Amino acid sequence: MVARLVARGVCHTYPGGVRALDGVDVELAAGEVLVVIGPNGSGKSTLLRCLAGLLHASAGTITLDGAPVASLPARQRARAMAVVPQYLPALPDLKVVDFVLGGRYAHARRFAFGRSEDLALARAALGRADAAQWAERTMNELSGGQRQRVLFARALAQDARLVLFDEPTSSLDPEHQLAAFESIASLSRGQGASLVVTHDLNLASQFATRILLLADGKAVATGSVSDILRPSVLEPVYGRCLHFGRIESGGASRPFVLPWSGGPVQ
Amino acid sequence: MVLSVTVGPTSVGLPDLARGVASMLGLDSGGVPLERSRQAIVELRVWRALTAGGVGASLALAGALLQGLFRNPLAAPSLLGLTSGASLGATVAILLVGGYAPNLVMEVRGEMATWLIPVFGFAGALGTALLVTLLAAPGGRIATATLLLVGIAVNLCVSGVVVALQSIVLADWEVSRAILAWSYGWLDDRKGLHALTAWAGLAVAALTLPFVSRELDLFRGGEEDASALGVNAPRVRALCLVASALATACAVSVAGQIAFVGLIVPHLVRLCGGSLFARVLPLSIPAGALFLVGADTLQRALLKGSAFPPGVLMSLVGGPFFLVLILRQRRSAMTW
Repeated sequence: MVARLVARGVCHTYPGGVRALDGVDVELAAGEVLVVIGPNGSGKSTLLRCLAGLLHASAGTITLDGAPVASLPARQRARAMAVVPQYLPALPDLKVVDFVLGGRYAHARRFAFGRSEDLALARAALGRADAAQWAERTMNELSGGQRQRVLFARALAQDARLVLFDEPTSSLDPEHQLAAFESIASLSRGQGASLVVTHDLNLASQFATRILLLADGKAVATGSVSDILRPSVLEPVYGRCLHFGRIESGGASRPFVLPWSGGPVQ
Repeated sequence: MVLSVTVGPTSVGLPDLARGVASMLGLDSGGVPLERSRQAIVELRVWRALTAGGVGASLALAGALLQGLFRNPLAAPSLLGLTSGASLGATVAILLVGGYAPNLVMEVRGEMATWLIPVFGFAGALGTALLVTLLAAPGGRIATATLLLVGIAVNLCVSGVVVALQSIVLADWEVSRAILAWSYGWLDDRKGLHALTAWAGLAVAALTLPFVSRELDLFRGGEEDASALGVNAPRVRALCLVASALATACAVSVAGQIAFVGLIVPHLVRLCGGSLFARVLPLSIPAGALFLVGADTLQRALLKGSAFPPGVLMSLVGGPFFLVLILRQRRSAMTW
């Protein structure tokens, strides 16, 4: 089935009155890598949690293939949509392979969780995330970046059509940042789709099919990479702290954006 | 369990035990029946061992469930105010039995105390757990951290009321002694009702295991993470709370306050059987039973007639033992 996540007028106010989201519209269809960018506190992670059904939107509608996300049973929702959090606690005594096996929970019958086929799928997912070598280690023995790859593996084991990533490359070295986004792009081919919250505008430039720019809980702009990654769109949100350029490669031209405080560049 | 019945100031051999148990079950053992006094000793010890087993298993299971739910290895049944609530209920019952409400209740003494104290203890434990849950979830959604803090606050308040009641009747030696004895834990003079209550609470609580064991392993990354993996987090939370409240309420209502079992036994199980709750939860049941029956048997064998109440024994042995455990595993204990 082709995945389609649609959110209309989503608002969320945290206890204490902080309005994190204010009427945001999102559409995510099969084949897309929708990258959500915006300054700190702009509502990116709150939007991701609302879309995933983990946080109740105080107003607006969110539907997955036409059904309200909030009314979907947890297992059914998890079979259709996986979430890769930015961070998890250290979790000592929990083996990496057992942690990744958690991704199979939504697919397994009660009393049949952890069977050999699930274990094989968990190990295969670790291999795809280049993390198979840590399968027998405990989670607290891994670095932040290694743990991020294990989280990625668990999402692969979950085998969902939609995957929502919250800053998936924040702890990764450049090689694994590229590998992670290449995996995200491959997950999103065919009937799958991904939504990625990130601060990395250059990875967004390379891999996004569409970009959504948030500021103060509002969707300021949405469009193609070239539509969004330009001074007239980003400077009103981020300020004049960016240097814009273009990279020509393989006959194509892509924008790049650097944080820059050194004045005009020739 | 068998060893526990044979050990004590008056030793009971296996043939006597078999004859005594057969008589309890109404079976004809084919031989000469035991003397009345010997039969009474066997019965007392059988009910004591069965009660201790049920209580140890219940407290250990409740501790393991709460440690999984709160993702904290220091969680114990006392957190939800269960033990202090049971204390309050039992103290009120002892006051009634002791004649401190002449205008409100009829004279309740003797046999009535056998069931009145457990019933009040049970009501006190569940009532306090309910109060904690309601206070922690004013809007219907329970936040685990809030529950923990409300539990600690209610625990302190209820404990204060218990101490206030104790101080009022301090001059009454009989009643004060009964309250004090209950607060140290009590396995003497147990009867079938007590053993049955402990095991019944455990059996009902254990029914939840297939629905929470795997789920608590997924709770380790937080309830939101578990929910994203497909776990019905509110249901798991409710099942864990109800099961641990029921098991603890039944246990403390028949044996008084026994500290440390719910804290230590899950740790021992983790040391021996790994940290997955799918294993820790079911293994905590036999381990808890073995732990309390074993400790009670050992001290009766070593101290003969001057055995400590189980609560005192657990605090004396369990406290230092737990300290050693923490020091040996300092790194993981602090970051789990």
